[in-house]
This record gives sequence, C-alpha cells and structure tokens, in this order.
Amino acid sequence: MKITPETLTAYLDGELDEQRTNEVRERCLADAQLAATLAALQIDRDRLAQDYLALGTAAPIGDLRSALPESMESAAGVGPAGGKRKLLMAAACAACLVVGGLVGSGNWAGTDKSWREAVAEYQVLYSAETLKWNAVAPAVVDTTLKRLSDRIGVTLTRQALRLPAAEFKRGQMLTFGTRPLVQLAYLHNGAIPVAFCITRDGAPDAGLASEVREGLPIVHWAKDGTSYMVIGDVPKAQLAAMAETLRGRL
Amino acid sequence: MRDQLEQHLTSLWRFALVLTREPEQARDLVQATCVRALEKTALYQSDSRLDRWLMTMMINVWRNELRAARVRAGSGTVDAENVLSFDGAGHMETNIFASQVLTAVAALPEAQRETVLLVYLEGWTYAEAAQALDVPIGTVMSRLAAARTKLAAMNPHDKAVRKSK
Repeated sequence: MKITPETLTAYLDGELDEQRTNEVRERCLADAQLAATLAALQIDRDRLAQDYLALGTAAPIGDLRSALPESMESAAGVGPAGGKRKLLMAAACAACLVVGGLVGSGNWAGTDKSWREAVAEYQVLYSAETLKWNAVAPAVVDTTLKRLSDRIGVTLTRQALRLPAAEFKRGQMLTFGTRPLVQLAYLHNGAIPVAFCITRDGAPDAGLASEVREGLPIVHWAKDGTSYMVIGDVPKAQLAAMAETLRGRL
Repeated sequence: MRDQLEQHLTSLWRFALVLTREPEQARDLVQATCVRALEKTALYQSDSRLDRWLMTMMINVWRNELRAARVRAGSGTVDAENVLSFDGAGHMETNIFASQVLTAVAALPEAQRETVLLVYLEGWTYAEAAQALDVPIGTVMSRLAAARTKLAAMNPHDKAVRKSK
C-alpha cells in the first residue's frame, strides 16, 4: 500500500491504529526516501503548544470582561438577573434614562422633562474614552441593530447609519418613561462623542430644528410618530448635515 | 452562561489571535462569539465542553466575517484552501507573535491555519477537528500534511522546530 504524506502525518500525530502504525514504522526503516519524507514533515508540537499557551499572558482580560455585559444587554437583551443593571454613569441620570431591563417597571421619575433634555443630560457625561475602546465587530453591530430595529420600529442598518467623519461605535436600548429609546453612539473625528437617538412617541411630523441643551447642540425632527435627534459638541452645520443624511435614509 | 464565558476568555483570546492574527480583530471576534453564545445558550449541551463549543462557534463567526469582508472588497469567492486571510498576508502583524513557530503558523493559508490551530495548538483529534470544520477527515489530514511541510521548511535553521514530532 502506498504511504502518502497524509498517512505519514497521521502516523506522526498518533492517529493511525496499531497495525498501520507498525506498518508505517517498518516501511520507513526500509525505505530511505520515505524516511526523508517523514523527516520533512516533522515539527515540534510541544514547542508549538507551549508558545500558544504563552499567548494567554497578553490577553486583555479587563477589556474582554468589560465587553461582556455590553454584549449581553445590547445583542441578547438578557441582562444580569433581574435586568436592573444601570449604566456606569447612572448616578447622574438615574432619574432620566435607564437601561432596557427596567422597561415598564415604573422607575421613571415622572417629571415633565422632554426626552431631548434627558438625552442631553446623559450625553454630556460622554467623553472620547467612553467610546474609544468599544469594539465594533460587524457581527455584533448587525445583531444589535436588528434587535434595536425590531424594538423601535425603524429599520437600522450599518449602511443607513454610516456617517462621514463619525465612526459608529455602539447601539443601546434605553427607556424614557415607558417608551423605548434607541441610542446610537458615534465618535466624531475620533474625539467627540455624538449620539443619534430615536424614540417612538407619536409626535406629529416635523422638519429639522435646532436647539442647545446642556451646552450641546441638537438637531431634531419627527416622522411617522417617531422622534429623532442628533446631539454632540460639533459645529452646528456639521451636526445639521449628519441629521439631514440620517433623515434622508430612515 | 456569562460566568462560564468569563472563565474561558483567555483561551478564547488565544484562539482568536491565531485565527485573526491581529489583536483588535481578536478582541472583536471574542466579543462577537460571546454575543452569539449568549443567543445560542439553549443549544449548548451541558455535558459537552464549553470551550470547544465556543471555539467551533468562533470559527463560524470568523468565516462569516471573512466571507462578508471579501464580498465588500469585491474579491468574490475565494477558495478557502488557498486564501491567506481576509486582508491578505501583507497586512499580517507578525510582531504580535514573539514565537517563531507561531509566526510560521500565522503565515499559513486560512484553511491550514485553522486546522493546525485545532489539532496542534488545541489538541483536538482529527475526528473532532473534521466535525468542527465540517470537512472529511481526509481533508484534515491533507491540510495538516501541507502545513507540516511548510512549518518545517519555514525554519530550516531552527532545529527545535524539526527536532521531533
């Protein structure tokens, strides 16, 4: 029987049965060419395994661990037990915005504050560091956007949300009172956090309008019972251009 | 499931780094895999090894990303046996591997690299690798034979590489 490099490989890897192992061993002892082929296939598996294990010492465990809860709430929609995990900066905005796990649980403070004011109070806490290290794996983004789309009733895709000079970093399901509120976070020119937020509030259609809240410029509009806003500390003309782009796509 | 995922982050990172050959991509891939795992928790059989279930899932996530990246780049369909990586070998960050042998593994074509990863780095049997990769055992053997030839030849002066099986 012809002994191929594949057979020799299986022999070296201990994948042949005893009879075939003995046969290959004997053939290699008797055949110099086969022995040479065998030699050309030899590698140090122990060293490979050792060096591979050593890679783990450089694993960014902190980053990976901190990304886990984010993945759970944004993509799987299953927070930790009870789902009542507030965001990192919740102390300053607990009365305004809470994560999806609190939907319908009566935690809204009940003020007459507008949703744009609530978003502005939240947004003002953002810095470049908030988003800079956020992973943007397409599979994660797609999964997140699909869930957000289903919840808010607006089809959100990576293509529709793409903006010049602003990198999409994260999508989150938030709540304003009992209403779902989608927050799509961007980093403008790698430095300035910008948010595109959507809530389904039954508001009448309205064209683009500008305002400033918490020192942050806002451009907002409403269409088909859904309100939209773009907020961030970028020049008003640029913010308006972003809003116009998004409004034209959604 | 979340607590169990945390226990496997180091091994998932290691696995992802060899697949992607780039730390940022590896981090994203670990995250994407964890997200997928959380979605598919109901499909996990508690009597099987979680790390292997996750790694199989990671390969599939990576392949899908690979395919999408190729289409986006206008490259069309590429033979998985020969393709080096979604961004080409020219972008490989060889310096992320201090180890010469791992650098050699990183230079292997995609299909050989993932097979070497499962069998030689993770210690899976041929049958287990074949199942995870959804290929016949004969394909696993031919990929490993080709990989062995390259790994041995890439370091002709490194006796440690060729020292033993």
